[in-house]
Amino acid sequence: MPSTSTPKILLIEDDPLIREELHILLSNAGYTVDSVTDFGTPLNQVRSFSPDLILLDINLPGQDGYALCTSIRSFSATPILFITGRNTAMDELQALTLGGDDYITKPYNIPILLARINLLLRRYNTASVEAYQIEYKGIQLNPVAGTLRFEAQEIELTKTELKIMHYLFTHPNEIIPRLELVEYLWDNEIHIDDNTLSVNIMRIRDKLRSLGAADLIQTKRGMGYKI
Amino acid sequence: MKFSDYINDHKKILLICFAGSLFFSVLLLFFGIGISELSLLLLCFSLILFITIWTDYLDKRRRIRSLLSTLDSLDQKYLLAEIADKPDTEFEKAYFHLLKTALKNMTDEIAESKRLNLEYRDYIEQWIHEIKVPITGIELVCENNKTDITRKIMVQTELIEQEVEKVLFYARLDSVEKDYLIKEISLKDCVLEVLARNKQFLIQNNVCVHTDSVTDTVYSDQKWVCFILNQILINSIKYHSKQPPVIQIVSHNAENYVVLSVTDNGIGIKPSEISRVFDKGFVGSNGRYAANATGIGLYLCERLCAKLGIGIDIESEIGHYTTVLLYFPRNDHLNI
Repeated sequence: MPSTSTPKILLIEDDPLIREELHILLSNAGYTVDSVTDFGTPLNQVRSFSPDLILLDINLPGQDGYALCTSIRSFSATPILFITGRNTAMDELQALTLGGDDYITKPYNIPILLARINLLLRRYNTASVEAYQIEYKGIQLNPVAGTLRFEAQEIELTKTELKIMHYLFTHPNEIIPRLELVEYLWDNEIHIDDNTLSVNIMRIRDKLRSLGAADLIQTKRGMGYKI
Repeated sequence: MKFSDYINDHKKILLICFAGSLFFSVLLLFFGIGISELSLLLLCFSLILFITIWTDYLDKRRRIRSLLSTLDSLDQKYLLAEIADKPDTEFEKAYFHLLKTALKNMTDEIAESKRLNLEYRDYIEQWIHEIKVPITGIELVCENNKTDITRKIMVQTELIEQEVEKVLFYARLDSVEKDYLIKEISLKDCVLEVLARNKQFLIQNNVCVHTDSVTDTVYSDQKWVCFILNQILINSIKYHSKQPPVIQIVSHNAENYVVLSVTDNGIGIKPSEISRVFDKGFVGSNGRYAANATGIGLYLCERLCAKLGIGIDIESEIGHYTTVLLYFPRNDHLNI
């Protein structure tokens, strides 16, 4: 897969509302999305779109998801993520033995869905994650090493502090509501409440002060934080 | 059956015999028979009568005992008429016929109600799968249009989801053994999934959860373990104290078990009630205080744990904490 283009995801889901909303969600998450709308000839669409990942519902009009999965497997090794309302052990076994790569049940939690998609795409894409740094106002954040650098000084951040800074650095000049930050942390396996967030922000400010960049994070009273 | 009962049943015949012998004695005396001959005659008659009655009594008693032991050995007692030895007297045949007809009618009724029950359960499962589609729809719409209002809606949808799950798992409780997939699962994944599913609900309640020391893996079914964890977590939030809820989830390796413990800083459980929290419908003083307790959550957990071979225990100090411990057996022989 060329690393320049965004990954392509094909949706095979018959419920129009869920299809549309998933389309929006995945587009917002930075994927190129196409949906199957004609369930008479879904295979043609699979061929012409040549997706990097297929999201496949099991209950479909006409041919069901299992049968479709078998047909797709006959000409393509594209990773398939089953999405279904059924969650018995039999369904799971069937999905996985027919060549599905993963299985997620409705109502799916959205961060979990995105994480699974990400995981599958990464598994099939051997390109390694390159070490990168984000720089803003002369301050460098290194997410891999977990450090902040300003001029010649460097400090280490804890896991929680790193995630907070990462979110702020990737949304410069935006006011980030506290609730949005808490939600982002929960999506990244840090389960803290509003008070603990304040404590962490305070610690980050102390660390920034020692770097000589005390005013980096501004508090917008009643709204949130901004860098 | 006691001999006195048998005599009681046959007192009419005995009375007739007594009256008959009295009548014939008087008649024979009138014809001029001697007292000694008459006594001998009566003695013989009594002897014959007694032997007949006694052997009949023994016969009947044997028959009843054999029927009782057949009944004892049966799991479905209503099948007695089909299994028992065939009767040989006309009287007993008639009773057997009655019994058979009545029991046949009842087995039909049982089969019918079993069928209806199964049909109902299937319908509930079907319904749950259908209700999940609109729930997913709502969640996606809310996620794509995040505002304070949609966040509130999401909390409510998460609550609906929990209740729907509970119904599904209750309906499936009797067929757990037909619906599980045992594999090596990471407890951390289970914990993270449960937390993710209740994200909005937990954030709105200002909950802090520490999961860093959950590292072990166990052999079990992920879906059921997640359901159990979910119930425990919801209880921790439901019965929180005045301070913001902090939940510690920890796993460690004991000799024969992997222990997963969930500790909250909630209101705790009274020592007098702690042994009953797993009973169906038990709400206790905390439940009445929280007003929306149904006494089903922990009952389901306990039943499920028993079916999955997981030990469950609860410790608490009132006003300080409650810890629910799950003991997963270690299957070392599976690690070849």
